Amino acid sequence: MRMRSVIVVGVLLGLALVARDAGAQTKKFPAGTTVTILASSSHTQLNGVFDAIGEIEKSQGIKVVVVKAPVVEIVPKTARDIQLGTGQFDLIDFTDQGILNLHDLFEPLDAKLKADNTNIDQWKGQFAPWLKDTFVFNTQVKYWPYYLTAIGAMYRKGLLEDPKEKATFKQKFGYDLPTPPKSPKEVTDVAVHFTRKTGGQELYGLTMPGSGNPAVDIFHMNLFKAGLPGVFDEKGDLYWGKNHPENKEAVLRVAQYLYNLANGVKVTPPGIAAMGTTENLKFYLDGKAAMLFDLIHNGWKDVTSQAVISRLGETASFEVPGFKPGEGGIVFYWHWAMSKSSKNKDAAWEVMKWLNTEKTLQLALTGGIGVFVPSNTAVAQWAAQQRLLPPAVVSQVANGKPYRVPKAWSVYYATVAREQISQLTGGSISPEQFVKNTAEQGDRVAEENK
Amino acid sequence: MARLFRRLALAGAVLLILVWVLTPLYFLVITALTPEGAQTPGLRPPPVLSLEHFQRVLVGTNTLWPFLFNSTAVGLGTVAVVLALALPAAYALARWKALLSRLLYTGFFWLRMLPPISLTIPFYLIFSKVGLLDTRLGLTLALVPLNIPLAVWILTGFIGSVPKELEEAAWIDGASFAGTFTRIILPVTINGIIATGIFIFLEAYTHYLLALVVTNVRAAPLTVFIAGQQTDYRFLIGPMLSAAVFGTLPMIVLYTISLKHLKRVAMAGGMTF
Amino acid sequence: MRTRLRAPGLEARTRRIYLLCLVPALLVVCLLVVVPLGYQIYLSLRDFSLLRFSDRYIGVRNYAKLLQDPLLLRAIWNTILFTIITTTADFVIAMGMALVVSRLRSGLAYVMRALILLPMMVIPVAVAVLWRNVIFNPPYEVFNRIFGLQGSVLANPRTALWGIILTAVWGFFPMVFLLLSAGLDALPKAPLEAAEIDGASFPRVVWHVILPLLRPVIFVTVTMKAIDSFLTFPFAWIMTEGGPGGASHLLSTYIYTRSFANMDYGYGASLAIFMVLCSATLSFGLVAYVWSGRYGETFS
Repeated sequence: MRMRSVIVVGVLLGLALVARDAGAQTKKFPAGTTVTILASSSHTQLNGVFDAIGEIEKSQGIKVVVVKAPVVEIVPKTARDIQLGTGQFDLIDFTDQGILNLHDLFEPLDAKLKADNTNIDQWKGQFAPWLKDTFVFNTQVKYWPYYLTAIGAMYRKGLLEDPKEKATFKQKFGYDLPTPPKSPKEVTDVAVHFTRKTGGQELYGLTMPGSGNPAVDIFHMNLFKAGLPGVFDEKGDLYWGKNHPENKEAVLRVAQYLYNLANGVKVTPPGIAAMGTTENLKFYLDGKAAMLFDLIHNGWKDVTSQAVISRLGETASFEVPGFKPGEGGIVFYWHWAMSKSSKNKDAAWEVMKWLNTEKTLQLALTGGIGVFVPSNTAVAQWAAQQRLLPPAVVSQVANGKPYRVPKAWSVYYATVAREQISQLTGGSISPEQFVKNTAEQGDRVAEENK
Repeated sequence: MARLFRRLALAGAVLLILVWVLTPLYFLVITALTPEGAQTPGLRPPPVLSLEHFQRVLVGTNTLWPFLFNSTAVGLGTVAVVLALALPAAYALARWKALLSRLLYTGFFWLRMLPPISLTIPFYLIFSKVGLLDTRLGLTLALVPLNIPLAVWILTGFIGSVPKELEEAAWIDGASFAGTFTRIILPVTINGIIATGIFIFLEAYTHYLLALVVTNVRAAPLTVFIAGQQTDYRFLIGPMLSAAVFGTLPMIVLYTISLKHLKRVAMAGGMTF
Repeated sequence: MRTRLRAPGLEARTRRIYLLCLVPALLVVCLLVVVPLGYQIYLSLRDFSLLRFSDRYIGVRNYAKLLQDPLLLRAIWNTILFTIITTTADFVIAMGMALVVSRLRSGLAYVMRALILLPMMVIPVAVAVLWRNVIFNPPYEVFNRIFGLQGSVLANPRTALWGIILTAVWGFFPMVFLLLSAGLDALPKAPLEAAEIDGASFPRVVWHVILPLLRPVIFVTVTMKAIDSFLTFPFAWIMTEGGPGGASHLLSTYIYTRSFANMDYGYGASLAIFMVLCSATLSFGLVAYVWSGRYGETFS
């Protein structure tokens, strides 16, 4: 009697298990399979995504470990890992500083897409059109685009659109207060107008980071909008180095513009040479600045939150005006890449797919700190509709084009640009010296890395 | 009159010391307790204090516990390995009157001058080839050569102060080498050994450079965690400082239980050549 | 060496034991120091850069290059300045504190000692981030607010190194205090009491009695501190990463940047070997001292 019931139970259990496995569509991996992601620590937007990534382990048995590194270490760490064959990282959140030059380090994804029965042309079509030369090389798909952003600007509507302010501005400067400012001169004038001390409370016309990566990005944004097509040309020479003296004028102009804002008319807070994005945003949120230049996607959630609006009023975004109207600016793009020396390519592929589902992308836009413009145009439209993104960044990104990035760029960025720009904003060197220093050192970096 | 002046001067000195020592610490604690998004405080404390930063690093995801564990494990591992190597070596150097031992002692001393940075590149490249990157074992191995010199230095002094007669008496009585070591040398020098162990642990616990180079996330110690809160765009000051404050607790515990050992070491002149 | 009563065969046996004792440590040092250094020398003779995808033998070209490197000169100068000033400042401050504490009643002295050790409990890395983000940099800018300054100390190439020096002095004085204060406590009371009975003022007692008696402890402490300062890395790196414009690079941070940020391991290796030679030269006097006299004294 007992034996029979045991057999019955056993058979039923067996059937249940078989039915479960048959129903499961997702690929299962053996226990202990680990995929390591190298992500930029500046992509705090992905915080929510990384918190939720444990569900991959539950559904597919893949353990995901996330390693974060600062932007300037992404290229070195990746290059070391793959060229030395260490295979520490399987998936990499890769920066535009290396995307165009170092695609040899990464595994082509065509075979994997085909294995999933995906129509590759359809798959390629989901991304912003101008990205196409950034993720396909020699007809091979090397990256999965996901992140786009640009430097933007913001202003406090309560200040710039105030009728009294408009009247006094017109009196002082002779033209209508532009909302938003559309040229460097207008930016300077508006900033001068709003720099004042009223009743012990200081107000500055413009706040922007003067140190670190954001400062470099702002400088180069202005540089490109002054007409320079990049920092290094096709041969890897600096665009204002000894081989291109004709461009020194434009660089000097931009350097003078930024130097003037910080040290001439002094419309920026005195400490900007030590301020990065966090301090910059805090300054604005404290109500001490009328305008702001920065990677505004980082703070967009803050400025559009009820708490801040009730304190400061609404904030509007605008594109950073350049010297040559109509010139596109610099758009940053980051793609996911799979390391050639990864030891778990199949599992890594599953994780890469998970990272790019609509659900995950939406989580990235809502569950972390800051937002970004997704490379996936459908999700980007959704985000714009939900008013999650600063309009100026969306429009900037739509007009993007990839800028020329030779191998020297990441070295120049980390060792020359950051140092010189923070000295410029801090007033320790003059614009002329800045142009001279960057030309000399840029030439040297270019030489060393040809 | 002169007495009053002296007392005032002393009081003034004490006050100066307190200001110098406590001001930065005050800001450390206050900033760690400042809630996110509060109005930037001046020199005054913020109106509301909050434990949210501590909560963030102690509970939930992205906590400091794995890193604290790494720091402690690597610290203890380094102590164990270094003591195991340095103790016998110190014994030999203290007792053996030969040119070779003198050479080696000087050699160990010179090793202390070796810049850790000169080992970073080779360690990185070698570890990546043998799969020791981002492992606690790898980090321990990297820290060992940096701590052997100090251990040898202190221990040689201590063992040297044990009179040789005691040992020789035991030998004459037919005791084995291991026996004399454990029964005669060890009890006398135990304070020095503990103090050395503590110094090594502190060195390993607070080390930064090699940890930065040979670990990523699995074996990263607390130092890397704290410094890593300085990301490019957003400096996560809250978690950074609350982790810093919390990280002092093990140190305080260690110092409290070991202070008398350390003092005895310094007083016994163990810190001489 | 006088002849002592020994069991026969003990001589050879003890020598074997001594060697056996030394072998593990020597082996480990060989493996973990000599081999990597050898590898480092090998690398320094090559052009090994992951950015240029290069890996070839170039002889001493790296060394020729570093002799003309202006940033390296700056780094050397900064390191020497940093070492001298932090060691001196820490010594003066810690010595002063040790003397003050020695004059206090035991209850108050105990409390003061505990408080003085507090900065050391905060790990150096944490001290660096605290001073960088809260004390020097906006928005907290405590330093600026107290002294009424504009512009962060760390952002100005002329003052950046001094900011690092100040932070290092604050971070390390407790250690020096610990050693000096313990040494002070261990001094024999007799000479001090005698001097005071003679009516000498406190400063004279310090100068003529205490300091000379304390000389060995001071020597050891100052030497240790100087070595550590010369080799230091976390403070400079975390606070300014050598900036702005390389104005606050120390030797260790400069080597780190050239090696890891520039991915130029060949050149970085030659710089590291250069630093090893520097430190060996600077410590030559010290090593000679250990080799000669004191060694014999300590272990007679």
